[in-house]
Amino acid sequence: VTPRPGAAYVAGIYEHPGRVLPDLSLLEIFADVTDGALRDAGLSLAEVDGFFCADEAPGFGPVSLIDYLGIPGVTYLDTTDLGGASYVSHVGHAAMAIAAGKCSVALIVLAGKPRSDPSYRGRRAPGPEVPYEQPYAPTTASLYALAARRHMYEHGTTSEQLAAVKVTASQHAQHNPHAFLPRAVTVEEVLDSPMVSAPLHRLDCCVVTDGGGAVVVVSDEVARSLGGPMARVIGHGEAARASYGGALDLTRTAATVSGPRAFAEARLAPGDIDYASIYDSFTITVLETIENLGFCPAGQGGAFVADGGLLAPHGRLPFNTDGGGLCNNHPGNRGGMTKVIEAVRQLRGAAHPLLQVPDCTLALAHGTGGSLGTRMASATVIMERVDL
Amino acid sequence: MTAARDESSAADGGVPPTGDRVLRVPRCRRCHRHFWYPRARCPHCRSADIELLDSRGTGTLYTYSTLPAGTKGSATADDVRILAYVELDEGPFILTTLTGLSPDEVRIGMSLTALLPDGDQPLRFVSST
Repeated sequence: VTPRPGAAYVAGIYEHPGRVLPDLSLLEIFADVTDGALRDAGLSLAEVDGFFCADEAPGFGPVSLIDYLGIPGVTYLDTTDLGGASYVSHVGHAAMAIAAGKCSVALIVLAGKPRSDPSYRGRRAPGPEVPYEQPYAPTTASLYALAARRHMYEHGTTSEQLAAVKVTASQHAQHNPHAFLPRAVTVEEVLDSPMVSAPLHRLDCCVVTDGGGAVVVVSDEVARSLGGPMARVIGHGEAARASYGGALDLTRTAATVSGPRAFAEARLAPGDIDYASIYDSFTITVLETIENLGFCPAGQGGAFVADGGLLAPHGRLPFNTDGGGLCNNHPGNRGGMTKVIEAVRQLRGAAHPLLQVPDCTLALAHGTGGSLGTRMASATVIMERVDL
Repeated sequence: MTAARDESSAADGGVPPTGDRVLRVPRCRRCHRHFWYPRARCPHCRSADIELLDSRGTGTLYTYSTLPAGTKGSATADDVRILAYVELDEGPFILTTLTGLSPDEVRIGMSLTALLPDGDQPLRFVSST
């Protein structure tokens, strides 16, 4: 492999093994995932010069965290908060910062305790829409249910097809000893689970877990000094989508923009991707995202997922081999970090042997933040295995 | 606090106090387009010249979700809520709830009419027929 100035690689990953952590503070989780990802990379705190976190960080955000964690040499900070998409976005931003020479070892962290401390809200003030929408007490699940119902109306999508997404995720999760829901379920079990907000059942929804994760993105020079299989960041796109006071289309997400931008930067097409981590806050999130990213035509997501299309290792688009947010882990109600981590495991050949995609060379990780179609953001990253 | 006052003054007409008998929807005097939710700047053209126009209060159902009784936001323990997006005839989409309908009567595309805020109840929509 020829040296490529400006290239960036994911060199370290760590997913906290805990899913219910009442006895650890939020800051201790941040510390654990920091140590885990740096250990995985073979780097030390003293070498970190880029720091990335989102709004779940308390106090003065990134500065409070680097003070607590003891990271003295930070020369580049980014606190982009796109909800669950944040950490996918951070990988793209880190690659840009490294290419621009702003830093060479970027640490991206996530921690959350929504199971043990559901009242924690981070640093957010209410948005301007709140007086007009809060009287109706929309839950996150209900806003995604509105999208699911519209998708069904426009495209004939069925509850059975949505359930197939969960069934596939559960078939992957049964091989993950850390999965919050490790048992494989059937379509019937999904449909028989309690209705949360029709048409979404409880098993159409992701898990709520404590925990966190971290990722280390490094420069070409640092990557070469470490050696081994690396996940090179070769494409990134992100976009926001809102209704801007007017038209609404709940069947399309910002992935219609972030996906093509990431593919263009990587000079790839959807058919080139060996493995995809697809954001799965709800089953409908997966269905719309694979359509919006171009893995299948608009409206045909239901047929794509219903016959095992997402099953690893040999489905048309093997996805979320850790069990995803639907079964494994959704730390802090923010799934983007674990999406990046499992994509890197696949590129390293380190996924579960029964689910490892053979010769996995090109992987995509996609994050979704906010509410489908209304006020939301998407981030897409494409990575390539490089042996240094 | 100027910005906050502007937002709330634009908001005053959007959700009329009890007793008003008409829904008012903001429209931009410069580009003549309606929008929702109410705000002090036009999201279409950035104009600050916003008027509140009487709405016909009619629209069609874009999508909906039924939430079981007892879910957060239910008025009573046995109240099934129907959360909905309604496309107003003037153009904008509005997040709301439907009332006076059982879940099996609800159809995407059905005609709906605004039911103005009453006491603790926010703006809701009922079937037009």
